[in-house]
Parts: sequence; structure tokens; C-alpha cells
Amino acid sequence: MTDLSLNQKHQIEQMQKWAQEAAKDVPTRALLNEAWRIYKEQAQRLKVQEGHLDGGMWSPEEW
Amino acid sequence: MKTLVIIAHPDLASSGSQTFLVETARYWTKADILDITALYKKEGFMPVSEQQRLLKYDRIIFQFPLYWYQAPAILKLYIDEVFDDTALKKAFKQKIAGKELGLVVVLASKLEEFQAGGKHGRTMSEILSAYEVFARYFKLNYLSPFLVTQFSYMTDLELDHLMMKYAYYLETGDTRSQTNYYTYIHHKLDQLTENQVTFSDLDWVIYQAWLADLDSISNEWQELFDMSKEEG
Repeated sequence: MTDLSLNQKHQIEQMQKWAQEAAKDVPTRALLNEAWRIYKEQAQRLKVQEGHLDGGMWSPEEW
Repeated sequence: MKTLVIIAHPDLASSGSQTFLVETARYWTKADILDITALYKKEGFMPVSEQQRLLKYDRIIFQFPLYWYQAPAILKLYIDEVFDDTALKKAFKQKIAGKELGLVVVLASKLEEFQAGGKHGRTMSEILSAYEVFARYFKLNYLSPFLVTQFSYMTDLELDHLMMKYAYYLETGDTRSQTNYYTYIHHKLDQLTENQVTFSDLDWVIYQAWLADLDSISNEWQELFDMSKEEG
């Protein structure tokens, strides 16, 4: 399965850590963590489906 | 929509899962909480005033731990007293019709144990079917139950997920739509204030840029989702 690159994962984790540390209370931390989970999930789905957008007929990977 | 969460637990303060859910509701939602054990101990259940209370809300949630495949006895007592006063039943039944009834059920077991061939051999839909029939009788819109499983084994990240999903359920009654849930989270992120985070001016700029990125990624995902629906 196509996966996010290590660099992308690292970037996401760093940003997630930054947001978590900024949260002043547990519910805000929960919201930010959940937002990052969704972000990661959607980024992963888009990665898997790369090339299926914009007509779904071709993928730049195949060029 | 106004939501009332009716909690049936013998000792709310002693329950980690229930207090977590109550604090979540207080922080993220405008739902009102009613601890019926405390109410019963204080004044008993008075059908007329309880019926009047219920009629003020659009969505009523019964929240309880599952004990021997049932709700704690206090919920049965509440239903018997409040919903079955024959002198008032007809008028009340007419007025309460069309409201939503949801369930929040806390389970000690794993969800996969509730299925044919599983440890308990019955699904949660079967176990909770009495509430569905009850909703049908009173013409309430029965919502898919919100199930909390193995709360005490949850990691911090799982608790964060539970917190937001539960708040979403109380505010929308929905357990199914991922797209609407994403929109809900996005809305909460938009409303974040200085009271909730220690952000410098630069941090806010970065945060706003990230929100725009999340927005863009969500739109792309939505496009994919719509496309897969067309193909499907």
C-alpha cells in the first residue's frame, strides 16, 4: 500500500506535537489531536488514491 | 437542537467513564445533564414535572453502563414513573412524538464479543432493542446508539477521539457521517480562542495556514468520496 513519506510523517508529527504543547487544557488537546488524526487519515487516503483525481484517468506516477 | 442527557448510574461520581463523558458534555456542548439517581434520592420522580422537563428538549439521550445486558434499574424505574402515568399518557405521547431518542452505552467488553458466535452471542442492536421498540411506541426518532467499549484500557489518543465523537453525538445525534464529523471538528477548530492555546502571533499565522491546508485536503477527500460514490 502506498504510504506517506517519512518526511511527511515527520512533519505531521512535529506539527502535532507543537499544537499539543500549546493546548491549555485536556479538551483542547483532544480537539487538536483529533484534528491531526483526521488530517493524517485524509492525507493517507489521498496518497493511496493519487492520480485518481482530476478525471481519474491517468497518474503522473506512470509518466 | 436542545439535548438532555439522562444518566442512569448508581454512583456517578465513582465512575471514571461517566465523569469523563459528563465533563466532555459540559466543555464542548450545551447539552443538559440529569443524574436520575441523585434526583430520585432527593425528591423521587414526579411524573408531571419530569414530563414537562422532557418536552423542553428536542433530543433525549439515555446514558448508562451495561449491567448484565441491561441498564441499571434506576432507568427502568424512571421510564415506568415518567412515561407510564396513564392519566397523562395520551397528551404526553402526542407532545413527545417526533423528538429524538439516543443511547450512550458503556461496555466493559469488546464490541466484537457482541455478535453471533461471539462471547455474548447477541449484537448490541438485539440487546438494546427494547429501547428501539419503546421509541417506536412513543413515535420518537431512534438514533443509532453511541457505544463506549473498554474505557479503562483506552490510550490518551483513544480518549481524545472518544471525547470528540461523543460531543459530536450529543450535538448532532449522528454516528455515521464521516464528512459531517470532519466539518464539526473543523468548526470547533475555527472557534479556538486564546483562552485555549498559548499561541504567539506567529503561531496563529501557522495555525491558520494549517487550517487552510486541512480545508484543502478535506475538499480533495470529498471530491474523491463523491467520485467513488458515482463509480459505486
